[in-house]
This record gives sequence, C-alpha cells and structure tokens, in this order.
Amino acid sequence: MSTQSDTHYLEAKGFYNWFFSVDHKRIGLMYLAAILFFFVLAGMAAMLVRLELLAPGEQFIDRHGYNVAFTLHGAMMVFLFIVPGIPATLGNFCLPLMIGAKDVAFPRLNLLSFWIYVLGAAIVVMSLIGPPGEAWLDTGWTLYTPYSVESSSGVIPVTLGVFILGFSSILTGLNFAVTIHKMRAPGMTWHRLPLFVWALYSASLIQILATPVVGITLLLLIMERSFGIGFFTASLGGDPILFENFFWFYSHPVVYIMILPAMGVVAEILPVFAKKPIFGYRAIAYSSLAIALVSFFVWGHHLFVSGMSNWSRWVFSLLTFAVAIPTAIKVFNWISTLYKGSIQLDSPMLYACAFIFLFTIAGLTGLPLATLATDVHLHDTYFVVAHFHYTMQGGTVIGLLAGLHFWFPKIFGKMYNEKRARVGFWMLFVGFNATFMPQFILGYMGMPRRYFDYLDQFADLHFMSSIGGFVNGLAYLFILGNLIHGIIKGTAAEKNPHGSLSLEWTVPSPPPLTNFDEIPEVHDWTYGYGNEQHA
Amino acid sequence: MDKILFNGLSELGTHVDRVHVFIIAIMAFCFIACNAVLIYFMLRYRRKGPDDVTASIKGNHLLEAVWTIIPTIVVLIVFVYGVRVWGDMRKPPENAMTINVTGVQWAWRFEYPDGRIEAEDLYVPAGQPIRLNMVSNDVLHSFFIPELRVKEDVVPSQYTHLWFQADYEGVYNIFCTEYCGDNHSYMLGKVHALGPEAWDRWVRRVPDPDAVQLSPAERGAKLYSKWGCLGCHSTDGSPNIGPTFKNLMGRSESFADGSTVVVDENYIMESIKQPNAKIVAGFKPDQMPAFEGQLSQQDITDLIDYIKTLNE
Ligand code: HEC
Ligand SMILES: [Cu+2]
Ligand SMILES: [Cu+2]
Repeated sequence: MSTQSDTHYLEAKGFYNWFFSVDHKRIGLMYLAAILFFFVLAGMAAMLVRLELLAPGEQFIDRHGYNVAFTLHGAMMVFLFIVPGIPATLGNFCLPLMIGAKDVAFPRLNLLSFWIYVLGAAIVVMSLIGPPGEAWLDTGWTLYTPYSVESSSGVIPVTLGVFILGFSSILTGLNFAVTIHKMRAPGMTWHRLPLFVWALYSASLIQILATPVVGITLLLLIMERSFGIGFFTASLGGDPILFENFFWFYSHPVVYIMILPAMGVVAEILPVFAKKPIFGYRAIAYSSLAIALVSFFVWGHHLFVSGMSNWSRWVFSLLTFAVAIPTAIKVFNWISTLYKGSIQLDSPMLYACAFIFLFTIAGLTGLPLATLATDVHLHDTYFVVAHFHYTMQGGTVIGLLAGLHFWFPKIFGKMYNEKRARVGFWMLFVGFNATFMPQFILGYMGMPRRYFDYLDQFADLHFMSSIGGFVNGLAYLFILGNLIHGIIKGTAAEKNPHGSLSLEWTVPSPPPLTNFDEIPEVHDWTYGYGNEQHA
Repeated sequence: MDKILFNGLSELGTHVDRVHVFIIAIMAFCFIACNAVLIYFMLRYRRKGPDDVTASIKGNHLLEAVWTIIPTIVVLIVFVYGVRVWGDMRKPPENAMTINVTGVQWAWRFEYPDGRIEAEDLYVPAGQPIRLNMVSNDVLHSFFIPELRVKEDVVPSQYTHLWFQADYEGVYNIFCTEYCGDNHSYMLGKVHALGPEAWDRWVRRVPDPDAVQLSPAERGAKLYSKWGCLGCHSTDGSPNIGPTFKNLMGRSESFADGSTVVVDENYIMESIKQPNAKIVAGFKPDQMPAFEGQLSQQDITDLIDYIKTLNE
C-alpha cells in the first residue's frame, strides 16, 4: 500500500480501498455508517411501538405485530448498534491517534472483526424480518426460555447471527487491549493516557471475558431448539432460569461495554471546553476498572423475582449497590472539573453536560431497582424501561453524539453548522425527557412492560410518552441531517478547533493515512489546561 | 387516578411504600444537589473571553475520600432497609391460607384448599394472609398485584411463592409481567377481597343476590374469556392455535386419524374434558389443557350454549 503522509485517509476512492482497507480510521468510519444505519432502523421500530401505545386498544398493528416491533427495536439496538457502539466507531478512529500509534496492534484483525460484524448483522436482520418460511422474531431481545424454545419464529438464525457478532466484539476488545498495552508512544505512560483510552481498556476487558459466555449460551439455545437436549426445558429436567442466569452473566456486564466508553468521551470533552485539568484523573481511571470488575458480579439483580433463592437475592442486592460507588465518584469528579473553569457551551459540551444531567437520573433510579423491597414492585414495569433508556439513550447515545460532534472536524476535516447542532440538541433533550419521565410514573403505578394494550388508568401518561417519542425521533433525523450536511457542505476545519491538548489534534484534519510522520514523544499528561499563575 | 403510593390497602404495602419514599427522597436530594452545582458552574464560569484565567486544580484527596465514604454509607442504609422489609415479604404468617396458582398461556388458575378451582378471579377473605404457591404450565409468567406491591415469576420448573393480605374489601388488578407471547397483555385477572358475609356466601357457592342474572350463553361467553379459550380459539373464523368456534356446531370435522364426525353437544363436551381423545386434522395434540375436573358440568353446558350462538 502506498503511504504518503500528505494524502489523508478520506482521499481513497473505490470499493476496494475502503472495504479492504486495514486503516483504523476507515474501519471506524465504516462501522459508524453501519451502526447508524441500524440505529435508524431500530428507531423506526420504536416509533411503531410508540404509535401503537398512543391509546389503549389496537391502534395500528395487532398484538403479534407489536411483539415483533419491540423485539426488532430491542434486538437491533442492542446487538447491532449499541454494543459495537462507541468503541467500534470513535474508539477505532481515535485510539491509535490518542496514544501516538500508526494503527491498532492487529490491523488485519480489525478489518476481520468489521467483516464478521457485517456478516452477523446481515444474518440477524434477514432472520429478524423473517427468513423464508419462518415468522418474524417475537421473543423480545432477551430470548428467554422456554418461550424462545417454543416460539415458531426464526430464533435459530437470529441466535446464530448474534453468536457471530460476538466474535466481532471479542476481536475488537482483544485488539484494543493489546494496542493499549503495546502501542503507546514513548512517554505515554499509563497515568498520562487520555481517560477515553482508560474507558476503552475497561470495556475491552469486559468484551473479552463476558462475550464468550453469551456465545455458548446461544449455542445451547440452538441445540435445545434443534435437538431438544433439555438444558432449559423443565419437562426434560432442565431449568429455564438457568438461561436467565447465563444470559445476564453477559448482558449485565455488556451494559458497561456500552456506558464506559461514553463516560470516557465525556471526560475528554469537559476539560477542553472548561480549559481545566480533569479533576481526579486517577479516581476516574480506576473507577472504570472497578466498574468493569464489579459488573461481573451483579447479574442476579435481573432475577430478584425470578425464583432465585432468598440468599442469593440479598447478596446480589448488596453487590449491585457496590457498582453505585465508583459511578458516583465519576459524576462528582466530572462536575468538579467545571469549577473555576472557562466554560464554552458549544454543542459537544452541551451534550457532555446533558450526559451528566441524564446520567444522574439513570444512576439514581437504579437505587430502587437494586433495593429488594422496592424492586419487587418495579421489576418488569415501565420504571425499568425508563431507567435503562436513561442509561442507554441518555448515557450512551448522548455520549456518542457528544463524541461525534467533538471529533467531527478531525474525522471529516469539515465543520457542521453549530447553530443547528444546538437546535438539534435541545430538541433531543426535550423529546427524550418527555418520552421517559412519564414512564417512571407509569412504573410506580404498576404498568407492566411489553404490553400491547393497557388499562385506561395508564392512558394519559402513555400518550405523553408517545408524543415525546415522536419529538425524540425527529430530533435524531435533524441531528444526523445536520452532520451529513456538514460532511458535504461544511467549511474546512482547522487542525485543532477546540484547543485540545490530546495527540489526535496535533495531526492535520482529516489525519494522513499514516497518522504521524514520526511517532511523537510524550512529556506530560493530556490535561494540562489550567493557566493560573502560581505565586 | 388512584393514589400511586400509600394507598393504604395493605400493611406490608405501606411498609414497602415507606422504603419507596425514603429512596425517592434520596434520589431527589442527590439529583437536585448534583445538578444545581452542575448548572451553577455552567453559568457562573461561562467563558468570557480567550484570556480567562482558569484554576489548575487536579484533584483533592480529601474530597475524593468524602464522596466515596458518604455514598457508601447511604447505599448501605438503603440496602439494609430494603432487605428488612423484603424479609417480611418472603415470610408468610403461619395462619396464611395457601392457594395454588397455575399460569397458562394466557390465563390464571386458582385452586383452593378444598379443591375448588377458579380462573381469572381470585377470591380471598379480606384481612386474611394468603400464600400463593405458583407454577407454570408452559412458559414463564409473572404474578403481579400492583396495588398490594407483590410480584413473583411463575416458572415451569419449580414452585415459587408470594404472600399478601388485602386489609379491606375491594377488587385489585392482577397483571402478568413476564413476557409470554401474543396475549401477554391480556393475561389479566382480579383479586376480589371479600368481607366475611360475602366470603361465606362464596365458600358455600350461594349466588350473590345482587348480581344480575345472565343467560347461559352470556355466562358461557364470560367463561370463554375467563378460562383463556380465546387465546387459542377465535370466534371470527380465523384459525389460531386451535380451530375457530365460528360455525362449529353441526360442522363436519375430520381428524388426524382420518375419521370424521358431525359436531354435536357430546363431541364438544368430550373435546373440552379430554382434548386429546380426537385430534382435529391440521392441529397439534397436547396443546389444549384438559378441563376435566376444572369446569363444572354447568360451566360446560354454558360454554356449549355460547358456542351455538356463533353459528351463522
Ligand atoms: C393452549 C391452547 C388451547 C386452549 C387454552 C383451549 N384450547 Fe380447545 N383446542 C386447542 C387445540 C390445539 C385443539 C385442536 C386439537 C384437538 O382436537 O385436541 C382444540 C380443540 C378444541 C375443540 C374441538 C374443536 C373442533 O373443531 O373440533 C373444542 C370444542 C375446544 N377445543 C374447546 C375449548 C374450550 C371450551 C376451551 C376453554 C375452556 C379451550 N378449548 C381452550 C387448543 C386450546
Ligand atoms: Cu444489570
Ligand atoms: Cu405474560
């Protein structure tokens, strides 16, 4: 491959130069296009769900169609969008640049994991919407047995697709972990690493350790369906709760694969736009690791009313509270970073501050769910739906948007329209809260989740939530439209428009194919922003 | 709209709601405190110009210690409070009356100590602790009485249990809260907490004098939804898990073994009591639960009268 430092990575034309490029920036960009595509698809399913729930009774789709719609929404959002999410996109693009490397440790493996992702995604989508002769998947993204064993829909192909996707995730995690260990520029010590890198590192560890478990679980499910082996089927001596345990052993830690990188993005943005060193660098870095570790021991909080033993119920409750502490530490440190700063509320910073705001809601509403006496009432109601949308959308998606706006000039060498970016932000902020705030109250009132129809007493709040949902949906179209417009028509971006001290901003925008002509030498940490004169 | 918390319907529910309010207070305090500081900083330190002087503070060990220790203490208190109240929720009082619950797609069955079986409607004496011993016939379900703050999954592999006590007469919702397929949102029921007189009448099966008298076909229509027949049998001609009831009476039905029969009262009775005796062609055996011993002869007659009304 010809590597001239004056050609930037976007210049390549043609299918081959993109789809078979091992350049981490191109791979990151392809991932971005792919996951945003699925985000829009899954979002459309969400709109269908909210349309149906506008009023009690059947509105637009029948009960089976509704079950398919929320399954499509959940499965695509989780497996195709949010799990690859920030690491595969911004992580791929930024990680080597931030640590002063020319690429990730295994560039070809990186391309392979992209292709595995494409393959898995194609299988999942094709089988979700009904392979020939089979019905659309209607099990919910959680695939709980025995329903997923009995359902006449295409459980096996979807499961197979997710199984394949798992390898993409494992390989990316492996690649990043090795990259962070081995590819740091001279002087880039662990304690000088940008916090986004720490977050990617923590998430990578979870990807490597947890994903194989779900892979095996899914294989067991396929065998159960194909051969009736009896792992999860009570009449054959199996236990459906075993599946729940296996499933959440992966799917709880995976929540942190989703949220830790978003936290990392926020920790990058705050110091730049406040012109302040990050507050409590080590506390933030180590709390990422602590969260990753503890996240493996809390899966049981999804089973508080599932027929687990009383003993394990309270142990899991206690362990779940243990996650709250490193999370709280992060929030306090982010907020303290703003103290005595010089704060510029551009769109990336607006998103970062909104992340903190929404994340406090997400985190705090975890308390009544971790508490046994109160979780009994709230479990599997709309309270849970609202809680995890505050973490996943209010946290991860807002974090992704913060990062996209922040690194946009670096990625594309162009600027988006800042005014419209702010309008889009406020639309999203209002629409999002209008959708999910009412759902907390619905949860306290006892409205169960995954209900096609509901009693009249829930109608007003559902109506409000649906209206909010439509604003929420429109906001995304507006925001993405503005970014796409920026890619096509935006003005040329400077090398370092936000005044960041991190290494990725020392190279031209967009970066040359080889990143750095010479590997930089690092003499200080990334956050030396304060300009106060010491007496 | 009902009062969301502290509806005063059960003592245990009130204890649970105290935990709810305690946590809501903590959530509100932390939310307001964090975000007040956040928004204050955002406004107070807004950039005035490129020459703003900013502090070089990198952290503060004392602060880190404080905001590690205080949240730890707070969550421990919440945890202990939650476990204590929950402990009472898991221990049914000794004088509790046990009722067996079976979840099926998509209906609830209740079996009383004297062998009596009910569907959809759970009748209990008010003021008496009730222990539910629950199991599922098919997939996962979850038994939830929101007003009384109790919930527990209903699983095919093991018995699960919960207990509650409705302190006052009244009717409360039962929801299925674990996704169980097409009619998940219709797997509903009611708890009827009866006063001493009404309970006595119910036990002795004396019809409620105030209740409106229904015709047999009307009673049959109620039984059709109450016992979950609607989950498998349509009334509009569309096939479902089982054959449609439309134009069933008098239809010539062919079976998996090749034989045929003209549907009459006796055939329907047999089909309800022992569905596997004859399998309708094109449908699977072992799908329909046998209602032998669950439905009284009177119930079956009412159902047949209802099915007759579905002929055009
Ligand atoms: C879980 C699904 C299910 C439920 C619930 C169910 N059935 Fe069925 N039923 C079936 C199936 C499947 C068949 C056809 C197979 C067979 O003949 O056993 C059937 C057959 C029948 C037949 C014979 C129909 C014919 O066309 O010959 C009658 C009558 C019947 N059911 C009545 C009832 C009544 C009354 C109830 C409610 C008290 C009920 N079923 C509940 C699944 C169900
Ligand atoms: Cu979890
Ligand atoms: Cu259900």
